[in-house]
Amino acid sequence: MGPVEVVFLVVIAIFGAIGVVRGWQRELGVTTMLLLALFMIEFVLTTAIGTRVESFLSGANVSDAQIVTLQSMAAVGLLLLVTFISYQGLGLVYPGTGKSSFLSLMIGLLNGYLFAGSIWYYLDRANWPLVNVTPEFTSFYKFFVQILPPEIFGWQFFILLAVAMLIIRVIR
Amino acid sequence: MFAAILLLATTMAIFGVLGYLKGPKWAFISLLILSVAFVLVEYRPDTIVLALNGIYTGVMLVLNGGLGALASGDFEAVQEVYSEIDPLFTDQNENLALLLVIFSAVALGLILAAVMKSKPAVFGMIWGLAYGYLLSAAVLPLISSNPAATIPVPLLRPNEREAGAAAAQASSGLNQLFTTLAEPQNVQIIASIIGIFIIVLLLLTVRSGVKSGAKKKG
Repeated sequence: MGPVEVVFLVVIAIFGAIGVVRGWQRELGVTTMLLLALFMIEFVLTTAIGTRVESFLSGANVSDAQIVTLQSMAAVGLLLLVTFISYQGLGLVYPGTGKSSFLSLMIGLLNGYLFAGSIWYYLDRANWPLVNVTPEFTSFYKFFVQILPPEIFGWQFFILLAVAMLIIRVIR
Repeated sequence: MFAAILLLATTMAIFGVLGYLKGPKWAFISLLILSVAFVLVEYRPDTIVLALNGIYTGVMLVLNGGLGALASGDFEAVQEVYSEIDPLFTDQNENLALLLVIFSAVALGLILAAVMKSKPAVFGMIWGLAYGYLLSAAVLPLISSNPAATIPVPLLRPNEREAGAAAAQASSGLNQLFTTLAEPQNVQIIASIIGIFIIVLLLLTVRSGVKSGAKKKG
């Protein structure tokens, strides 16, 4: 297993630890924000909006590889920004009593999967810009890269899940 | 290798939480203690084995009456007792001696955790995560013959260990497993399972949270 996988798996583990410390009520708020961010990214990249942006950039003599890199860097930037705001700034907190460390760990790991998994996906899609990663990937990498969030879920999944969470939060 | 990653992640998570709860002071002191043990294990394994064997031999000499023979000047009897004592650690089990040193450092850290009082802090978690990483990096090569389990530790472990035939043999099974999992039909099933798991986990958690919150208010 190469260092790229290790780095992302360690980041997911760190998110799990953060989840235990913060509690699942706060972690669910981060999950909602990450789902909304992923919806925005995927919606822009995969619908007519993305096609228009691509044709505009092609018209400005930007190559296909550069377009993919630009899209990926924008996606990674947005994810980093949203995650930073969710953890550092004012965040959505879900109601609930009790402190279940296991549940907090699970939600924390899920946040890690959504965050690190998506960044992994976009960097892989752009052939790892700015970092020196050799393309001879391991079988684990080849497997895991196929089950990353943006790879297996469409924008419909992200928005429906985020809206469902918010509706359930409001209905008593 | 997957087990190694799991162990690394678990250790980091446990000590990250412990570091947060016990504070940065404890976490930093414990990390220093573990770093010293790590350096000793990495650079002076023979000295550790020699020292532990020496202590063991001394204790056994005393327990078997060697001290009395020494006091009476009967060096032949001392020699006889000494020759009957086998060294505790040999080339076959020297990893046990090194593990003993690492776990002693961990035990010392945990004793300090019970004694020291400090407030929870995020810096404690950072030191705790580093502690978990270093602990895994120290223990994994000692419990696994797979050189691929050797985690890089900048400065403290500068020389990368070469992956040998044993690593290739050990990882071939896992490679086959991941290659099978990477087949499109398997990926589809795994993706469906992940999707269902996420939906159920999130919606049930939110629902139960809302219910418990309403009960508290009511």
